[in-house]
Amino acid sequence: MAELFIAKVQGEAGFEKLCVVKRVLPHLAQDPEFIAMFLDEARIAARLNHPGVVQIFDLGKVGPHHFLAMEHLLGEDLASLLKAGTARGLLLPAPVAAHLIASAAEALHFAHQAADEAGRPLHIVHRDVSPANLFVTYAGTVKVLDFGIARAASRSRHTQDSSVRGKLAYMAPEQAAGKVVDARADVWSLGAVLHELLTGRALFEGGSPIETTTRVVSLEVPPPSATVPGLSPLLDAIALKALQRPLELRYASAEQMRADLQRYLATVEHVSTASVGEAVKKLCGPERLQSKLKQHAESLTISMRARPGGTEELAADPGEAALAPTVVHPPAPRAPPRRWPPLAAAAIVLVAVGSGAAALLRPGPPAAAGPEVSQVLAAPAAAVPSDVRPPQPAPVAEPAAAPVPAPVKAAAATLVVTSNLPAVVTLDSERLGSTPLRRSAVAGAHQLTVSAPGGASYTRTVTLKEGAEYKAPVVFRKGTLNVNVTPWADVWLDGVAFGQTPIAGRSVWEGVHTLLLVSPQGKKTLKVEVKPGRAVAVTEHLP
Amino acid sequence: MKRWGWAAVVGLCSACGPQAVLFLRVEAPLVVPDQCDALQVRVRRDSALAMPAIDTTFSLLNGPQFPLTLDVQARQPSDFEPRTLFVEVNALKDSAPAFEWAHGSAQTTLHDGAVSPVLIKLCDCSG
Repeated sequence: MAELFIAKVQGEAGFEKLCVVKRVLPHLAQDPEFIAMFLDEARIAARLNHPGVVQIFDLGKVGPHHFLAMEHLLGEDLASLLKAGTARGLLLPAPVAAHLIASAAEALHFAHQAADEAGRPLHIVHRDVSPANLFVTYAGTVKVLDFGIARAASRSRHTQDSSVRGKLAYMAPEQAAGKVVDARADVWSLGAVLHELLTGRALFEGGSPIETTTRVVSLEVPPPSATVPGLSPLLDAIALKALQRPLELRYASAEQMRADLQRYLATVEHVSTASVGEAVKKLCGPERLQSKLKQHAESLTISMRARPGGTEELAADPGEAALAPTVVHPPAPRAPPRRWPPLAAAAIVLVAVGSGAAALLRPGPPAAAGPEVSQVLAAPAAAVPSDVRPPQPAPVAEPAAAPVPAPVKAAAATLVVTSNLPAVVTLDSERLGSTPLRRSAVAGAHQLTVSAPGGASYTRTVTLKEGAEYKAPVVFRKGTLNVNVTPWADVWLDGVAFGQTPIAGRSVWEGVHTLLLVSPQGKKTLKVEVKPGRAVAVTEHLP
Repeated sequence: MKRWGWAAVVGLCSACGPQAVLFLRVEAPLVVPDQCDALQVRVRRDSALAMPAIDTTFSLLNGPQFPLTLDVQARQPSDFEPRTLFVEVNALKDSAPAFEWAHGSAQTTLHDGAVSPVLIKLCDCSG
């Protein structure tokens, strides 16, 4: 829906600051509902000056492109964290999970309580609290992201109460039913995330939207300890109270939930912000962490390389990922309102590059200063039209200026992986998807792994070149398997019945397979590696 | 496979203590791997709508044709508690449903030290 760029703003005396520029994708720029939602995100988040809410620096429009500049974060959203943990068979320690949710609850309560300048409650409800929208930095700070579908009752012009948005598996039943929602809908979502952090399983996720909705509406919620024995009864009680369908039985506010989580945290060893950061890094694992830091460092390198005549530098973050900042360089200080003309210029460069006009860029005079951030973002909704910023000088309208090298949009390359078996593609320990796969990736050296079911896996170092397509066709091959058991046995290969011994000359895909041998005398499980073009013989005796 | 091997397995379980064993027999008019290359198996406790205690995918790329039998392993004993389980099978091709009709489910009750055979037939009953 939007793409993310990393931008560097430069100022006097070597002042530099990284931020993330979120730009509406071109095909959505004409969608008034989406644009309104995008602008509401900025307006709402800008009102929420809280360390637990991602900070918005600027909002604007250059040509047809709306953009939002926000805090640059380095860490993981909880969805990625859960995925990384699942891949490694790890869960966050329960106190850390409780700390994360308590921090998110605090930020959400702040949003729920937000008021306008006259002190009138805005009745903001996030409505899309999910693991993907909760971010934890490697320093241990928790941020609530994406107020894109949040609704401030007094301001929203586009989102009707009855419209159902947000991720189904984390959506409160009343929200799924299209009813009016209040802060308690976010409490439910927090409860669902807490449950998942504690158990490693998405509580309401079904095989289809209908199944998921059915589960949201009717699943009898088990306590987390039913899945992970040994969890504190207090945590069970908190999760279950947050997931009460009758509103009167649910926490009346995120603050109440936070308070209960704090009571639980008081019963365990102190959880510091630093220890949360360490737990997050540990769950990610060294490979993923290094990959992230490397990607981050490369982004910075690109930024510096891409200097267009001393003006702002931009580096696109090609990860489609996006849509959640992947960065944060030390959490930005809460600076007083300041002017951001360089950012406006950066946005111009960004948009120009993005629209293919990079070659026409000129080192023109500094862009006209935009209004102060506080002015832009605190303006009443009705006063913040899509072209809220003063007209910007169009780069292409300065023919007299001398050409300069076009800034590098991104060190983006395209990776194309095909294989003769459905296989999982991993780049630097990040799972990209299944073959056939075509993805953009940061240029540079990467570790590419292609794994087929059955354990066959190819790993190689690939060097992706900016703007180029790297094709990686992988061909898995078969070997031959012979199994002989005395006196005899039924054989199961990777959980599937394979035949009865003696088994001779059976063609099997390469890789490490699990064999289960079963006979009236007993059973035996063993691993066998089949190499391409080779025969492997298994001879066993079941007493 | 010449036969299911029930005799072998029952004998095994008699010898192997209290563990319950869940074997899943799947019948389907599908050709492996052209029409189906994997089976997704979900085992739910408590109710057919509960969160799967087991959600696993069996690759069929090594050639067995339907009907075939799967050995569904519990990751931990509690996966098979309580003993009444709801088993769901989805036939997959390239990680997507092989056909709209290619799924089925059954309910079974496990018994300690015994095989609990479950038969699920996937069929295109539309015509």
